[in-house]
Amino acid sequence: MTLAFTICSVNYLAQARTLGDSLLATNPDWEYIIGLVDDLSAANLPDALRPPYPMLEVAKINIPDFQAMCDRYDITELNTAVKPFFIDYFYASKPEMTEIIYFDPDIIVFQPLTELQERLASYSIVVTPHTCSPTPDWERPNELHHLNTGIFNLGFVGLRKDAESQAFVNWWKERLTYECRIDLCAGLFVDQHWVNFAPAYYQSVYIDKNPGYNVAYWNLHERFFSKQDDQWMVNGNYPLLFFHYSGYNPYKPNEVSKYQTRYTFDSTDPRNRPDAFPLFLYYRDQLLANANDTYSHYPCVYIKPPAVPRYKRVRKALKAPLNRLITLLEKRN
Amino acid sequence: MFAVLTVCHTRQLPQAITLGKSIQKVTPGALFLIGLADKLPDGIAADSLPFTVIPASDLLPEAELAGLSAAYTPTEMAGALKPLFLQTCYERYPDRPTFVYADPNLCFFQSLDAISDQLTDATLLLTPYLINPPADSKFPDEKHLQNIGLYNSDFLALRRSDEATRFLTWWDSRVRTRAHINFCEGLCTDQIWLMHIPAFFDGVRIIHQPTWHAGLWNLHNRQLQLHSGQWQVNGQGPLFFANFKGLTNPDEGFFPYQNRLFVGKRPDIQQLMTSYNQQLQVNRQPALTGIPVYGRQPEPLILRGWRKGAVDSLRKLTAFIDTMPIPVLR
Repeated sequence: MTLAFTICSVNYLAQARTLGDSLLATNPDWEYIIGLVDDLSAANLPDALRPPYPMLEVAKINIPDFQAMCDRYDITELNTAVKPFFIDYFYASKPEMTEIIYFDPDIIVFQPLTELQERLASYSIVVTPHTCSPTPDWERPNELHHLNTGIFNLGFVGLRKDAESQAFVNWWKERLTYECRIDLCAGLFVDQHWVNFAPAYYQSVYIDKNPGYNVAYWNLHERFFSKQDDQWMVNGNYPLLFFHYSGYNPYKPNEVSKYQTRYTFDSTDPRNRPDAFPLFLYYRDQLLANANDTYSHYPCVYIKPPAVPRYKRVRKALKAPLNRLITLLEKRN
Repeated sequence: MFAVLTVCHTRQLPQAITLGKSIQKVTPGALFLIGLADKLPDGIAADSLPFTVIPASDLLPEAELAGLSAAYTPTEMAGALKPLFLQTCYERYPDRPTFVYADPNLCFFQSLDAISDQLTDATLLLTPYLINPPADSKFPDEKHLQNIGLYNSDFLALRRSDEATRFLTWWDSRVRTRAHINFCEGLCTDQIWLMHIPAFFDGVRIIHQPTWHAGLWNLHNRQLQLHSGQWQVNGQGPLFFANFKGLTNPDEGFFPYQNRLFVGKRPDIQQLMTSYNQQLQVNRQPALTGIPVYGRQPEPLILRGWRKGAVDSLRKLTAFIDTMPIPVLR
């Protein structure tokens, strides 16, 4: 059996529900679970807001020393760091699941994913690159951003339950316990950058370049959309399988994503992408119908106040003589 | 059927010649080419060297070379020209179906046929620095590899094909002006760009055999044994090629501060290095030294001994000052 899951906090339940609805319509035999980085008793959702899908709170999956992880990480880091821990929990607690698919909550699925299941019959791990071809310009995001943050997008990963994917998940868990941070200069970008290692360490990794997979702002330059008999197609020949609306704001329908500068939905702009616009409007309608307005106001119990370093001037003064010494030591003789 | 290209500075010519001879020995028909990201010193004629030398002036007009030279260190400069050297040779020798790039510090021990065997159903071969996660927290760690690129650009093999042509054009278009080392910007010579290859090009094979590309960064996982004149790796087969970068000269390469491998405790590596150094010694010439002509920016300074220890401690201290909790005084 196949298990699909996502991870989010209560404020993103509209997205998680929309993903669940799309899976139910396209892959009805899959089980779907929402991994919740939040506390349901604290949120105390009214019945009308309880999603029709099972939810699993992160505190219940027995992450060793979870409190320390909460202290270490901000909300983005925490939400991404728990990904392999959820996978591992499903491996152990749901032995009937032979494949586990992770989707970011802001993805929706358009078609049955039979090809993915077939792929997982021959490979342990399936990942999708941000882009399968060079980026056409130096707008954001370009090849340099992907070098810093990861070649593969970890809004999706498909795993077959076997010894190799278990070894990968164990290694990933170890790394994310302490180093699921954003520090580009130190080679770190949450859970995603680490997965660059997957094809180097593991033999049964498939880099899936199907243009219908994980379509998002980072690959719009190589993917164009059309509709054939009520079915969305990519580049004419490939059915659209799942779309990732990363950084999309339903209240700013003319913006593709807050993370990109390459395209717009402004018809007076030469960067306009009218072919993609209906796909975004469709998603917007789904989100609003799934109570996005209400969910988005729920605060997450794991959000900490941002750390404000105090006494910046004192610290700077203390460091000054040390930094002078470093400069001196690093001088060429 | 093989053409093997190396790219080096004049002072690395003894290594390049050692590499060329090792290739001649294992695969006599292979064509070995030296791309010189430098100029030969006065008194050394290109045809006095045992292999074909392609000067940087064959690639680009002097004005463009001077522009790049002003922007780069010698290491970056050699990286910046590497894709263009490879592309030039690829076009110049159309009868060679298999192209290999090999760093001058490489040395081959077995026939190159293993490469063409892999290329019967692949277009491009990549060798990762690590094929297993490190089991310790020593240096280089995985974060450092993320900064420099996981695939070692000291070796690359490609089969003549449209895909290879497309790759070479793209690689040069990215690397020539973006070969700086700047981790915060995602830049590291020609090497980090290889990260895109498995996503952008078809028929890419990542080599997982421990017999390929043994070096400073992975020998902790690879035990060598000499069996009837042949080096065996972990009992899994004969050593195909090794990279002596950072072994003969610890300041060279991306890991001057590595602390995982201690050659003093590895008689197998010592023996391998002794025999390599003997071959290298034969090819040394007093004239083949000196500062590279291209790459006017200084290489980063490598600290050793007490200076390194002092700077590390001071850095730890400043990081502590940045993060230590100071109680609020009212």
